[in-house]
Amino acid sequence: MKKNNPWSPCEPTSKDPWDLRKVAHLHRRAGFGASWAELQRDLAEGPAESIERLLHPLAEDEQFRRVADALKQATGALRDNYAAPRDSRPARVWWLYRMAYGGDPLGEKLTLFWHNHFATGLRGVYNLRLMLEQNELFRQHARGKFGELLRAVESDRAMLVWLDGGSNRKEQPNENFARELLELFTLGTGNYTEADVRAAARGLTGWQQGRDNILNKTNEFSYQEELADTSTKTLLGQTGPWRRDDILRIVLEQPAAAMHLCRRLYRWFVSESAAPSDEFIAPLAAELRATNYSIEHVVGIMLRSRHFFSPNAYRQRVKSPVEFCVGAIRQLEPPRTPNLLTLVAMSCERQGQILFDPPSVKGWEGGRAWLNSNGMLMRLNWIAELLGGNSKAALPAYDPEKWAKEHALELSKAIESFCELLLQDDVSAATISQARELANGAKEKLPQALQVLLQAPEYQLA
Amino acid sequence: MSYSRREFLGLASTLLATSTTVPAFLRQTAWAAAGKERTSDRVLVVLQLTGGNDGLNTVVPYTDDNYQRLRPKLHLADAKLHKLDDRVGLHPSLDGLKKLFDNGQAAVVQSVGYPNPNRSHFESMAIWHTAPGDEQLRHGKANMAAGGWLARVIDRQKPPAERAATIEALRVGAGEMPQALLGCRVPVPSLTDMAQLKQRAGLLDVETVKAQIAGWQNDTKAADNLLLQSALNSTLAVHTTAQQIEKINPKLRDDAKYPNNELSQRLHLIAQLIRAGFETPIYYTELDGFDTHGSQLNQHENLLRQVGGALSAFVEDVVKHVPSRPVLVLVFSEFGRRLGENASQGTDHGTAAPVLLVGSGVTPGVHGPYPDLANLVDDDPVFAIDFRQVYAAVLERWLDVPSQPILGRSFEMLDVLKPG
Repeated sequence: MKKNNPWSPCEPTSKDPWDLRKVAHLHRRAGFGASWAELQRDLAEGPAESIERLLHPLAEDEQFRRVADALKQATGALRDNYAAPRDSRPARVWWLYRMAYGGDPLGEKLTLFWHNHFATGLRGVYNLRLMLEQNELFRQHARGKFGELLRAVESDRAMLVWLDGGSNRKEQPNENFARELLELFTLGTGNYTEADVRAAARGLTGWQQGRDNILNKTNEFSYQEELADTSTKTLLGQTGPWRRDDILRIVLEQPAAAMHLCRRLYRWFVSESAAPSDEFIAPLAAELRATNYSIEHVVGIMLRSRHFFSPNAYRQRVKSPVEFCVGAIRQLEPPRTPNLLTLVAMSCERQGQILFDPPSVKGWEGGRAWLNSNGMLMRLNWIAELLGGNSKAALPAYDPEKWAKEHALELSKAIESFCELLLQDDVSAATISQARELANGAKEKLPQALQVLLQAPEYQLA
Repeated sequence: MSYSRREFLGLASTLLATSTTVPAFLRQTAWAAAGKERTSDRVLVVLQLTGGNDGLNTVVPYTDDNYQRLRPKLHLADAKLHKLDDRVGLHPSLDGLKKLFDNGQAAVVQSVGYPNPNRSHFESMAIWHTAPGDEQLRHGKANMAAGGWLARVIDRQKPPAERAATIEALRVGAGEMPQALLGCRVPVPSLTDMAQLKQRAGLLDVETVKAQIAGWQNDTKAADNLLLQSALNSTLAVHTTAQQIEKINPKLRDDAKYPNNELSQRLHLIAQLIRAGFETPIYYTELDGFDTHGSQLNQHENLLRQVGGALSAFVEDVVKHVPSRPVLVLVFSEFGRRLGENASQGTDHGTAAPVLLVGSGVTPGVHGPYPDLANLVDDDPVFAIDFRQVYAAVLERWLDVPSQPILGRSFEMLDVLKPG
């Protein structure tokens, strides 16, 4: 890439140094926000090491894995029976645990990206085991090759139920999956025709859904060569006896596929404010195609870039409910009381984000849609609950003095430290002076000062 | 209710005088109160009767021999029915609804359903909620992944940026969100009581909150970042709404008289919100219990009494107290019930059934073909009116929304709502 390319790596200078603001920005985007120790470590180590650690984290900590596995057991998914959307709360707690306490925040952020990209909902799948299977598939392929992920999604059981791939028959094609494949998952509107949808649907036939002994549909699917429509079809200008592997190959050969995916990644990692031009996205799409659709490669370019560390990106995203709640936990490190993550799951639900149940196959709208007045009310109430505690749910009040002590920070300057931790310089003068006034008045008022910071409009932004 | 229209008008002029930070719904209401332009003032309330309401014992075809013959135990005696014409009459416990018919405030659309009827609660409900296209209906399926029909209406209204401060739709009730409201860009809130709209002060005292709000109001730098400006506006809207909600005290008795039951409480809450100046145009609520496979008579009678009583109290309340907000209530169920009764003095899942429309905008009376009980398919009468036709009428004539983009094609217009 050329030197003056916006995607060339950011090289800090004395005028524009590697500072807390950049470190915190990196962690909000590549993960869910950083703790005090993580901020200080990455501030000292510089951008290259910080980004490298996110891209290639250490192997999962043994103790973390044990707790996560136990939580996964507790979801009831292994029972493999019918599940309504409300039954997913333990599963949401399991995933929130991975986001809040895991050592691979970028992996979880990408897993969430794929959940939003291939948005599948329990309310159409009715089975938690299938939803968790899909979730692990997203995690496994999170930073891998998009083509491999796409192939895995095409034969994923939750997806076969959700978009009717299992009832797509040669004699009576069901176009549901084919249409979303082209419109949402790969090319984007305007880059295919209705004839392409029909051709893709025919080529994607071959799935047989199992039946139990009273002929109810089961969640077992088998791909059977003889059920696939092998007649000649024309997809995106290529004519042949195309079947599923050909369909996916032809789709990914389209330049539009790489452009579409890069735009989605841009919105997820860089900015929700701007709709970047084709010229701006093209270098990323070229890199994606040159590396056989390596997600890690392109995400790495984005995170290292000058553009990423510029005002075009700072605070140009709205935190989703999950980012908002998990972020506060990663930053403030409240004690890991048993109900904390259940309360997070409930608050996210009220804020409009139920993991494993996106509103439609389009995923969550994101951006300003999160800032509707009801969602905002639930966000402000969550902050009040996190800090003030909830005696009914055995959630203790947050203790800022304990936090300061743990990080060996002077109590008299605690509010300045919290400000650095949560907002860096991105906060209005009125908010910061109100917080200082409260904190400096009496040390009992430190929690109130903290509430003022966390309820600042700036804290809504990633 | 402690919050009168007079007080509201007083507040309205203050709001107009003061600021740009007033949330859109209050501002518009204030404009309306001051006689200025506003967008739309109509309210749609959707009432879902969950479980499959027995349409044949709701709007009873009392002169049809087949009805008497196939329902030896469950048929309702002619003499007690509230007759609507010389062929059908309302269930005896629907006094409230009869009153609305007499006032010209109610209409029934008969024989509403869809092709390839699905007799599964889930799937038929999902079909009503998502209003899928013809191709999907041929497969007998809803389009779960596409989002609800009301969600599509909400998304058509305005881009999210312009309505961050407005609640476009509100569901009153507990449990899972109806599919009809899922899938829009701005999530629809759901509440069981007013308390859920209240803001928690948390650790802050009143003075601190005031200072906090003042700080936000004076923040001029936020304009540099549009997302930050949205966050700021929305935060301020929360506080203004909170003040608004504070003024509604559901414990105080107001002069509206509602029967004492769950559905009445919910419709009462909706009326209170409308009276308090909420601009929200769409409300959704449900009443469960209609899956009457056994010992149906008493159970169904009680449910219908609730429906009739709640509807008439609600319409009277809103018409009297907020004449500027015309309301329409759409009452539907996922299917009707089998004509032939079963061996447990109940009825099994059926297909086509009547839909009720209530409010001053309706073309009153009985619409749609009478159910043809002599020509059953799979033991059920065949639908004559596609439910999407009813939606189309509600969209075009009540919500002023073109129906074609929402429903995927155009439908013949039913004359069930007064034009304009």
